[in-house]
Amino acid sequence: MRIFFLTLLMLLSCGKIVFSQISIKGKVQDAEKKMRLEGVVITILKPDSTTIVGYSMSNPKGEFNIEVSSLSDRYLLKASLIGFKAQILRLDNQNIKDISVFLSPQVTQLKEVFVKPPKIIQRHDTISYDVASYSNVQDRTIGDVLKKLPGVEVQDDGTVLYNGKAINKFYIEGLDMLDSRYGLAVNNVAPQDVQSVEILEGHQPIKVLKNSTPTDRAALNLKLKKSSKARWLGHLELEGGLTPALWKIDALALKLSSQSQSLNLFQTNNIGENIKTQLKTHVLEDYINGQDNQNDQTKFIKVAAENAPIADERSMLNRTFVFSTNNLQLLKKDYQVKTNFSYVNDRLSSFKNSVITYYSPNAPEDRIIENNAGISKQNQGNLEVNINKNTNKFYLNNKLSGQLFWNNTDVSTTGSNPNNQQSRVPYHFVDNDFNFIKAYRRTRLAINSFNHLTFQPENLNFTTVTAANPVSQRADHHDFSSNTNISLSTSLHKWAIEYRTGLKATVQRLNSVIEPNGNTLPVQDSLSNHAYWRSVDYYGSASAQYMDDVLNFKITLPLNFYNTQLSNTIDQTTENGNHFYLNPSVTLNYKITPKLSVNARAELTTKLMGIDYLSEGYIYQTYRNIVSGSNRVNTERRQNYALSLSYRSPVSSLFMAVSASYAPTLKNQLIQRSFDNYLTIERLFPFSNDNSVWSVSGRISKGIDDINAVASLVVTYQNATNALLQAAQLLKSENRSLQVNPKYVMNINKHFNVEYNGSFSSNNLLVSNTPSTGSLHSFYQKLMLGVIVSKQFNMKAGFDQVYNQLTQSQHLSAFFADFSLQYIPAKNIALEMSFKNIFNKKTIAYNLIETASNTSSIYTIRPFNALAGVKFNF
Amino acid sequence: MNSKMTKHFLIILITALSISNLKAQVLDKEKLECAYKFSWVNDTSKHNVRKEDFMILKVGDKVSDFYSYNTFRVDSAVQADKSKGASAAEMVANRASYGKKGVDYHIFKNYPSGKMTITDKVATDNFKYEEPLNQKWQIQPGKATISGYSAQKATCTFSGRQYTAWFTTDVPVSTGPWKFSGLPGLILKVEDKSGDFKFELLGLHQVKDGSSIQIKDKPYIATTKEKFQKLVVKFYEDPIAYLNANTGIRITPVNGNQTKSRPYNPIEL
Repeated sequence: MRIFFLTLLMLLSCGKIVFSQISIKGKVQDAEKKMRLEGVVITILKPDSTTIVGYSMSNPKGEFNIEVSSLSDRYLLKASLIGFKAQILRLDNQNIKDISVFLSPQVTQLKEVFVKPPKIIQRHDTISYDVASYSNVQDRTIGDVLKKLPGVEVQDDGTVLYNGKAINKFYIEGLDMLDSRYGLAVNNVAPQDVQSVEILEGHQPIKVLKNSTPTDRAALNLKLKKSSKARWLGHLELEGGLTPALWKIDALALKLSSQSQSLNLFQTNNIGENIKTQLKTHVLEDYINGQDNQNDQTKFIKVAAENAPIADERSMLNRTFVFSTNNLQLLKKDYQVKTNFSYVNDRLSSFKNSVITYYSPNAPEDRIIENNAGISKQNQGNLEVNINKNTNKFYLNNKLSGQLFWNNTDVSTTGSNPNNQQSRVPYHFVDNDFNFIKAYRRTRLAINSFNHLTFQPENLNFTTVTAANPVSQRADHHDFSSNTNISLSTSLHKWAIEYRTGLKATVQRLNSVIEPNGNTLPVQDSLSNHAYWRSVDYYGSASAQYMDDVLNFKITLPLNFYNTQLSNTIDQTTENGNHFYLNPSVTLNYKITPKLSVNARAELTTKLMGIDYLSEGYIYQTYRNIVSGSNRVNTERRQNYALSLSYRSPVSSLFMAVSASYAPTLKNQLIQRSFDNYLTIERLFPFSNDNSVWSVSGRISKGIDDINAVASLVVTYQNATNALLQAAQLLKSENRSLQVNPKYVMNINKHFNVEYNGSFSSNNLLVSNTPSTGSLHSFYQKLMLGVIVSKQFNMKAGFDQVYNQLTQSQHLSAFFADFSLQYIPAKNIALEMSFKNIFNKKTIAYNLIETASNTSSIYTIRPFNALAGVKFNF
Repeated sequence: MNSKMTKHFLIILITALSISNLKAQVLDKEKLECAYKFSWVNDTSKHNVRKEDFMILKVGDKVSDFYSYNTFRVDSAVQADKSKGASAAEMVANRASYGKKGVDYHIFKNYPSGKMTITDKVATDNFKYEEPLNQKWQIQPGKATISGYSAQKATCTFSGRQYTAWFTTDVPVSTGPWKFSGLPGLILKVEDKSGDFKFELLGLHQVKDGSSIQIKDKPYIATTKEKFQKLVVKFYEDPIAYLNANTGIRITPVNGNQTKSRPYNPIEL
């Protein structure tokens, strides 16, 4: 028993020894105010000063008590509190039962951690890109940033694509000030003013149609920073340079709010900046009339000072002035009014040496050599006035547009057939588009009317070396078209039925005459046209649609009845005709998962070609191309099958799409081509024939957030066939092309950024299954390096390479380098210097493949340019 | 009205009804503000579906306040509309512009000293309870760098779950996200063993002339942690029945979905 107790006692005492805690006590005071400090973090550390042995916090009396299981002399005590200098004491010279710690006040600077907003946020159908995460000080316009967003592409002509499809609206703060000329915003809004870029997926801009007319297109909205809203923003940029005397002036004033918006600019330069592209009208998806009211310019005379297929900044010898003012104002009762006016004055020069080859399977190739020096002068004024009301129950839109456009081109040619040409190709029009939709409970009534009037008095004069007097040609034509329809739709559960009836009338007149002025022309007869063409299309359509959250399916059955009249005073004939066509279409959109969707479309369309196909008399397009149409109604029936699959995951910044399309077209007339010396003569010949285009493309775009990079790749393969008659043979021309476009953008850190763009293509022309050009490769690649030394100073260097194979045995390659510096001495001023085409390359070469022909050209580009300028922002 | 809309409608209506006044009791002055991402699994049958909230931790000399920025933002917007005289119906119509609310609680650690005070909301009622600050942390040998700070590993068991935390002595404040405190430095990251609940530091900045840390003066129903947890379970099992029984709001379910219990994975077991 005693032993037991002793053992127990021993065990207990042992236990006490083993588990006994050493307590370290003390108090903390403010060294200056001598006040006790609460909440001070006290840690007992091993001599390495990082391993924590024990810790505690001081209580409201400033006292602390830390229990540690073991203690060594060399242990440390650390006391720290925000706002005070941390104290470290060695415990060996302390009484551990009563340690006094004095902390001196000191401004503590903690390493701050900044909350980074996610780069891409998705909310329902809106994908929002944080602009600051994708931009740097070297981005001049919001367009520079758009190019870097995963899933977004900006094409050379300024068209913005989202996951491979063109956007249907471009908004700023939810308002559509610029309509289809959104390039003005892309090229002028500064990224510093924009908070985020929003992509509104499946966006139906007409609110009445929101729940009944779905779309696979997206709209883009710029959300401004609070500080940039509702005040005048803008800049003035002045640049000057050498070889020859170079200038650039860029003045911009814009005010953007959700009530009213205004964008005004004046720009001029002769440094190759194409400021006209920003005024381009992008084709926006029309939910009311489809493609019915898209009128392309009919042009008879085709003399042009052509641009080379390379960046305008490299090649364009220009002198351009642009003025544009755009205003939008919200009125009472949800009405808004906008006016857009622009004026362009442009002078372009071009110099090129070309070899044009015409292929024929069983005959030697025909070659023409042409050295052209061209000057084109354009004057263009556009005005649009638009009144719009867009609510859930009511839609009213009336747009009145007018254009005056003069285009005078003079080309002087040496080579196979020396000559001088002067062309005047104006294009004036006025049109009005009226749309009205009213929604009742389950029914919608819509009335649309589009009227379009054009005047095009064209002229061509040319002098060949052999002739004393110039040949002169006049080709006046004016068109009127009117399309008015009324539709009624009702919806029942998930189904909707729409009936539409309307009338589209087209009236065209052509008066043309070629005056030989004593010259012997290769064609003797039919040198004039006095043609009248009228087509009245009475149409009716019925469509049925099913729609739920994931599936949308629509079938449309339009029936068109055309009554036509064609008269030509040359042969004194008047031909009347009636034609019936059924043009069904089927569309399907299916959301397989929230990230993956499929769109399919099949349609048949019929087009009755206009007066440019009905000119029986000859018309010169250029001095060496003369064409005539036929006196038979020319029709094209086109089938179109398209399938696309798109996937996007904003969380992982991954956007992918694949699409395929096949479009065979049946035509009732064929071009018959013949040659007379240097002249190419083309006539339309009634001969049923078909051509087709099929293509497949895939694209992937991935934001790699860890390294601040965005990588994308677009691959497209296209096969296009066409037919023509040449030397009494039917030639089938087939062009196979493959294009691969990789792109990589990376902000390595805040000082360095890299951008790479590549474009690799391979073209192969086969004429009647006989390889003609062989496989011709070309590529263009560009590497940009940005160095941001400090907030004040940054540099940019660009290297690009152009490689073009002209024939199987001949290719040309050229390297270019550019360099620019920017110095920002104050917030609103930037000084810039740039050097372009540093190696002073003079020319580039390229190929252009057309139906059974190929043109190889050597084009004179801009020489070395040095520029210096200043930019004021406000 | 589908079930999602009904839910949204209810949230806004409840918010509109329950925000009354903004008088408050001042506890401390903010000197440090931290932002955390709180992500959790709400439905344990779907482990890959995580909910997220953006949380703020205001740290004063003595007291810290942890709350949802999303809830704060929506409540402020609703309050602003209400003071402009907007009706409940208008506010319901505006619901899309308010955005999504987050969690409703505020956790005031070290108030009163040695304890924490939690205010939370179930349907239209505001509750308040106290809990001791007594997490028993074990400092572990692991070290890591988190958001630029050298961090030390520590573990503890709290309310039925095992947690791993990372804290830094470089920020000498003994607090952290949610109910976590008591380490010799700011907690930068904490996660439970199952991975269902996770708090991660997103941002941190010092505040000069900081705003006050305060408890809003609402008609709180004083309760205990245990009673409150039971109430929450009851609410999740049958929200409609709960609302009908406990509030003046009468709700008739439009379709069968409404009567079903909602998935609920409580952080405290």
